Amino acid sequence: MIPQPVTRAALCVLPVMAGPVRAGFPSPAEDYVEGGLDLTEHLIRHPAATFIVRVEGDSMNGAGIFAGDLLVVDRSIEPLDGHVVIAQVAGELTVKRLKKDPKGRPGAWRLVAEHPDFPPIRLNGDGDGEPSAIWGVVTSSVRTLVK
Amino acid sequence: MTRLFALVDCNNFYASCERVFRPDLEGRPIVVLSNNDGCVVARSNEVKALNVPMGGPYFKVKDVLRAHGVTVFSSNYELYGDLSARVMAVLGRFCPELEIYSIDEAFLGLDGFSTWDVEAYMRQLRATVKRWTGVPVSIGVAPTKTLAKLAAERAKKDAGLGGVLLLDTPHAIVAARARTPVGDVWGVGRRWSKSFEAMGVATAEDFARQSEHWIRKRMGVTGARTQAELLGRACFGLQTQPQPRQSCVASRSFAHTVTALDDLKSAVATFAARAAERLRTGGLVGGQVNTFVLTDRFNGAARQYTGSAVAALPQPTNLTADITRAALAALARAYRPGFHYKKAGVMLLDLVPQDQVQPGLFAPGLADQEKAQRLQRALDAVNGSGYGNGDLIRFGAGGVRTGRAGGATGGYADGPAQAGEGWQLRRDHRSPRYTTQWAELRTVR
Repeated sequence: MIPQPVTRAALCVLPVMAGPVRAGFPSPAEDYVEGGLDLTEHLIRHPAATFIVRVEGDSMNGAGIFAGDLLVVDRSIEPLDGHVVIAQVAGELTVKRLKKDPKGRPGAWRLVAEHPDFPPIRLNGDGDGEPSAIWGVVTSSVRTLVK
Repeated sequence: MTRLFALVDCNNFYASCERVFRPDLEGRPIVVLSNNDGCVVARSNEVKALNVPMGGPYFKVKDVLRAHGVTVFSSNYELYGDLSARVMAVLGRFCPELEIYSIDEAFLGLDGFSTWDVEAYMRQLRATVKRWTGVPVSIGVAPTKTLAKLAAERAKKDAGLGGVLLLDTPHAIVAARARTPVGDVWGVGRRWSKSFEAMGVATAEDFARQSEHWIRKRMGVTGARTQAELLGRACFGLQTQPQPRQSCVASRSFAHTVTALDDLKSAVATFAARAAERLRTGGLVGGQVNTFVLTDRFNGAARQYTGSAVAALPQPTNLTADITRAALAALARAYRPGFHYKKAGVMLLDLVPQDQVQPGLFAPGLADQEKAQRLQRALDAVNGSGYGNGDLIRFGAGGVRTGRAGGATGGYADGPAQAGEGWQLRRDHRSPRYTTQWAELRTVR
């Protein structure tokens, strides 16, 4: 068995036909035919490192992330202050915003919810600044309005 | 500047895959079971100390595993295949000369590096694979593929090496050979290792030091090549193009034995569809279909029978309908009533690339062929959409019929056998297909 490299399935790559082909006059739009809009290409920059997870609970409602949303998570991006991330906490995966911990020692980080019921979680920094508990950075969210 | 090979080997691959979405299992003992939950096919490092042999039957170690709190998984090939493709994609970004050797190993061709930066590059590669995919790997680098494999094995076993070992000096090569049992050498294996050890050839170093005549006498020319590779002379190059397939088999053992022809028909139809799909993916067509059925070899009390029949296809094809029809026709000839069948399979033979086929004199017209191919593509789109739980539409004994909507795991992957589909695979402990099924996504709070 030979695994195939990850390919991105283009969702919507229909060339936009400018008009039906007729004998006689060519369409003036013929030279301007572009590709269609590919949602996958827009959402997923690094296919090998990108995973999709589903949100449960309300801890990030303030960031516009609600239960049932899909999150596009890119593990190749360096997590920075202010990123929404997926992190490992007590063996579980949680979605929170990554913030530098003003009170902790240099290089310490916190995971902050966006809902009053959820207190911040302090992360043990590695001293080099990047918390090792980060599973990936959330780059986009997808909400389906009509089920 | 010498030509170097790297061998990238995923550590305990199936077990590592299970941990990607389960960080709570990091450092905890895990095993993964083979098809039908029969044997242990992967163990995390924590289990290796528990006397649970690789490849051993699950029922024998079930109690030991439970007593030590080992988490047991059924094989989740959908997940492993997807994570493997991701690992290979990352490797491909670091090195365009890539040979995918198996689901969890690949060779890289490293040309034009001076040795001082090869090791740094491999360490960066290892860290990137872990960061991007969650899969830990070990890497060996050496002047030949056989030595690279040997180095990767050492890198895996010796924690002090940090997962990467470069054999760039004669001293390093000899030291690595001296620490490697002869049975671990690529191309030697268990077949020769027992007799070699009895003759005092216990390590790769001992093997390399024998005369070529001694090696050739016992292992022939392949043994001589292995020895040359161990001595630093490259005999094997990188195969970056996949080899053309000679045959394509889809088969499974059943959770419970099956006696009725109708149950076998259902299984064979599914195998035919799987095999045909693989042909289409590979751009091949097949000329013959072989259906085989087997009784349980391990049940001494039962009457044994192996049935096999071949049906030729009137026209080389990879369309599911044609292949299923032929597979069922062959099944009718292979089947004998009164036996308890434990396994069946469909093998497609006479494979040629799709674009090399000459239409025969009695082949269906071009318009009919195109219509059949359009139908096939439509069916593939539905079956492969990620929304269907397993195949929605299969060709059965009675023409097109829909498969069972068997809950989250789908008809093919359900647990203990259900009435009327007694041949279904047992996968009692399968983790969710996190990366290939919308209904089985990992949740986060």
